[in-house]
Amino acid sequence: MTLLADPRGTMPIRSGIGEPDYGTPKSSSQVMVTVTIDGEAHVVPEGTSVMRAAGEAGCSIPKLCATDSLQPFGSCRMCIVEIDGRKGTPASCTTPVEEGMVVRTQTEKVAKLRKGVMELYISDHPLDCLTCSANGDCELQDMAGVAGLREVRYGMDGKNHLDAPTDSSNPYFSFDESKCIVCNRCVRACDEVQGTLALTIEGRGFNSKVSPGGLNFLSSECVSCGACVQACPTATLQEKSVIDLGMPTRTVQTTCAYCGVGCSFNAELRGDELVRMVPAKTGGANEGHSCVKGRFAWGYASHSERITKPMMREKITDEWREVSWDEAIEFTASKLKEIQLQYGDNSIGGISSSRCTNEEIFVVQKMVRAAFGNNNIDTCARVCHSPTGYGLSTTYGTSAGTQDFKSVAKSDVIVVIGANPTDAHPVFASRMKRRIREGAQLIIIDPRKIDLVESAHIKADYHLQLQPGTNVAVINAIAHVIATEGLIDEVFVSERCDPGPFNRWRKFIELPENSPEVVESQSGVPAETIRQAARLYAAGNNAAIYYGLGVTEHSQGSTMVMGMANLAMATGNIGREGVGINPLRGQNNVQGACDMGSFPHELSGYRHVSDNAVREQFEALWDVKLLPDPGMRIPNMFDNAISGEFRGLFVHGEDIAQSDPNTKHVEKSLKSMDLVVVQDLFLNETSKFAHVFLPGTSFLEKDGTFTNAERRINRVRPVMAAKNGKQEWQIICEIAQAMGYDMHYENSAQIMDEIAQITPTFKGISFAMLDEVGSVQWPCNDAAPDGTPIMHVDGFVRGQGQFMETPFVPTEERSNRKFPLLLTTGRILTQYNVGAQTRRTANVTWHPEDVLEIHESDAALRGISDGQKIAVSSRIGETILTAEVSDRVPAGVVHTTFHHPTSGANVITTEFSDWATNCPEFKVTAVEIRPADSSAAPTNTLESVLTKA
Amino acid sequence: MDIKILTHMVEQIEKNIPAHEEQYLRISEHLIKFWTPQMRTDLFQEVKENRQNYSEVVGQVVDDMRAKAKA
Ligand code: SF4
Ligand code: SF4
Ligand code: SF4
Ligand code: FES
Repeated sequence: MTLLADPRGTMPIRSGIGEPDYGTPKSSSQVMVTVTIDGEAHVVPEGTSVMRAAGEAGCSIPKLCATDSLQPFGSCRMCIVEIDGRKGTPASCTTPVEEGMVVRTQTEKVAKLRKGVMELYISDHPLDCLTCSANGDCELQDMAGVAGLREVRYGMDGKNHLDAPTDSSNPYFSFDESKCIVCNRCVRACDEVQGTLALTIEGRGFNSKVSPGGLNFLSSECVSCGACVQACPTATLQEKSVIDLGMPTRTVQTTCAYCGVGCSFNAELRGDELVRMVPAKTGGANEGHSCVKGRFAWGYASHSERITKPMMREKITDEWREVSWDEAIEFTASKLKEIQLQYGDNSIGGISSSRCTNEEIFVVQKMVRAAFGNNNIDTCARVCHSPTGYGLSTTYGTSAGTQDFKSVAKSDVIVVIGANPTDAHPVFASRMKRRIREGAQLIIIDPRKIDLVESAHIKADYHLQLQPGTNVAVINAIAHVIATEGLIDEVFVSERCDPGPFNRWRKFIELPENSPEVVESQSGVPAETIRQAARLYAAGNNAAIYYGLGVTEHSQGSTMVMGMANLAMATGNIGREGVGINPLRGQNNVQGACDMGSFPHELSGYRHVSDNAVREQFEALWDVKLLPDPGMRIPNMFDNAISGEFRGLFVHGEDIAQSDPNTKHVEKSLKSMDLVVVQDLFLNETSKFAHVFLPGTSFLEKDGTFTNAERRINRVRPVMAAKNGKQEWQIICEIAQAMGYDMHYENSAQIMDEIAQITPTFKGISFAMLDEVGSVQWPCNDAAPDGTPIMHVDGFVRGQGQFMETPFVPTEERSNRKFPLLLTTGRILTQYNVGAQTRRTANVTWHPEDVLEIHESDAALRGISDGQKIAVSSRIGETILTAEVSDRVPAGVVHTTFHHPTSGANVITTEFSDWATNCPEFKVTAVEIRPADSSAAPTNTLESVLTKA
Repeated sequence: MDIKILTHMVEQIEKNIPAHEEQYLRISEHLIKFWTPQMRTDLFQEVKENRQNYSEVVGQVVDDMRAKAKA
């Protein structure tokens, strides 16, 4: 029998167009050893495998069960070598190098043995290489070539797996069992990299096979991260897009545009067609891992509903008509000027988007400040992480997370507050879970039983299941225990913190009103649980806090951020690896949107507009006079629109009518305006009130940078030509020019150059620099030319850390007889934000509609059963959702997501907001629920998405 | 902007900034840092006309901001 593989004789270190694979992970040891491989001496870090040392030295060893994202396993025996002084032929993947070791990788003996091993594998493998979807990117094919295998002696007549069925249940990848060599890489990838443990090897010997449990992949625990697909050396686990379109031939490295983890991907193309997104091992944030959104849910970029031509209409009741770019830009500019002429300079403003690049955001805020001539620029970060900016700036001096993601590997105690990383920040969650499996202890503070409370090989040591709205009471109680039980790190505090505010805080926090016993009645968390969790946090060697919107989207969001910052200072958990205060940012570029000066009171780099020296620098560079007072925040714009003072709005890539609270109020304010301009990919809820629609670019078309939650600036490179014919920054510049302000750049690199010129924390950054080093974490300047993975190491940005008193002020939104339940909102793994992107992909398979989680006792009381349509009403409005009876929420609390406009979750959320920043209180709404008469069937079924795509 | 919204905002700020001798200074700093001039002017006007409806601290805040604005 003749093989179809083309024996090459040499072992490629990379298969296809992928990144190099050295077989085993890199050793982090600083101790170096010398080893001789095939006659040449090489110096490598201690702990390096012989396989990796050989690969790095250019004499690669064949392998099948090894890949460098996984710990060595030693099952296939393809990688055997001869080592002087050792008996037999050890596996090079499981053998670490030793000082003076002499290794021979290409002897006649090992060649013969490898060929025999390969022959056994091939004898149970379909010989259809030339028609196989993995042809050219298959390690089995490569290894057969390396082993010099041209003939198989055993034939295919005996027992084999060639008729095994293919599981195509997952919308993105298939599992063709007939091609499986049972190398275990997929199982280990799911365990070690993803941490879901969905796969097992069932059976023994010849009968062993990979099993996802359940009926198939779709019905299993699998979360479609793609790690197993990436690890598979054959076409057994294969992306359906590769099967459909063929093997890619070139690659462009870029950054995911979904969550704030900011994963790097190699976009792999065949010609101009994107075939797949493969997570980049060189990605600083993700190191080769991904989640279902970034890995697979990119098809929306080519969805048929994309708007690619500018559109206009006189009235919002008119039909849209396509117009030229010139007409759209000219109309927008002249109408904005007309409004200003009639109602004053302050009557217009803009909203920038955390989904856009730093360069786009920078030019939007520049257009508002320089061409509109006011500071009425705000960002969608207003409705998510503005309290982070306020809280961390006040206590530490800057608005940023303190750690890099890698830092979690050094944590002994991990506290997750108001965040759901496995759904909202999945790739970081995998890192966190790895550390927990290694033994770190875990405290969860959340009203809802999130996956981390208990899942495969993970169990939280403490779950403080508090009543929504009582975060500050609980954090104060934890601090009370630390202060009154002598657990304060007095040395750290005296060396690093301002003594006046500290002493005042200490007095405040020791008050009996902050004791766990008092807080128990407010929060519902048993006092003893609070005490134990506090002791664990304070006594753990390295304790880190990670938090999300469950902290910020409250009437005391800013207070809570300061409460956590106090806690880290009081226990000395700041300024080194494994500790810190870390906001998990929701959208891809929330950090960047804040950094770029898109809050109305700040210029880029968090410098207040009232700072004359800073303003003068901008004025000199931009050749324009800037205002020294803050402009309007988004809610101010809405309120002023209703009262008639604010008349024109430019909305850049945000669907405020769906994402902002109290939809009726938002709609009323949009309807009150004379001009609403929306720049986006698709017509959305906001565009229903718009007069001009400017088509935007997807992340696959953008050229720029995103900054992730760890302050890492990543390049976003164009993978395909802009479908609208223009980059978004060009469109903004053209509007500014049409309004009479000369704003011009040749390319987006020039915008970054301007950002670096005018923003001290970005001084060392340019596209050329990022292209050279991959990514960098700000501050990056003369003082930190390589960037800053960990902040506040020797001192706080503000000098001394500032403790802040954090009195608990209960929210005004309370449950009562009419609205006895508290609604809290969240996210789900497969959907993102308002769903504009993910709803237009096969991700709707998993989440076709928003559901309302309700405890069985609350459901029973109201005669509601699982799957039933229910009306959810608050004092603001009413919407229809499907009930999901669940023990994730306690009695008295219900939970939903807001990914689908049909469910209108924000129809019922209220106008209450954070006292300091006006970030909406999405997390607490008093509601009542009853069975609905009408049914609101979900409109985004998989079928409808796929037929439109 | 509806004055009810502004007064609700300033009352929330007052509740959340702890009551001690610096309270009114911190509130006035907050309003100068984050509120538009129009919002501050509207609040001045309201408190001037209806001072009896506001706490002593809000009165002090307004006096302090007016003094700073004149300086
Ligand atoms: S599916 Fe792929 S990775 Fe998993 S055991 Fe089979 S060949 Fe190996
Ligand atoms: S896709 Fe991810 S979660 Fe699913 S089986 Fe593969 S590794 Fe596990
Ligand atoms: S959505 Fe977040 S975790 Fe998932 S691939 Fe994108 S950046 Fe990474
Ligand atoms: S690669 Fe070493 S035993 Fe499989």
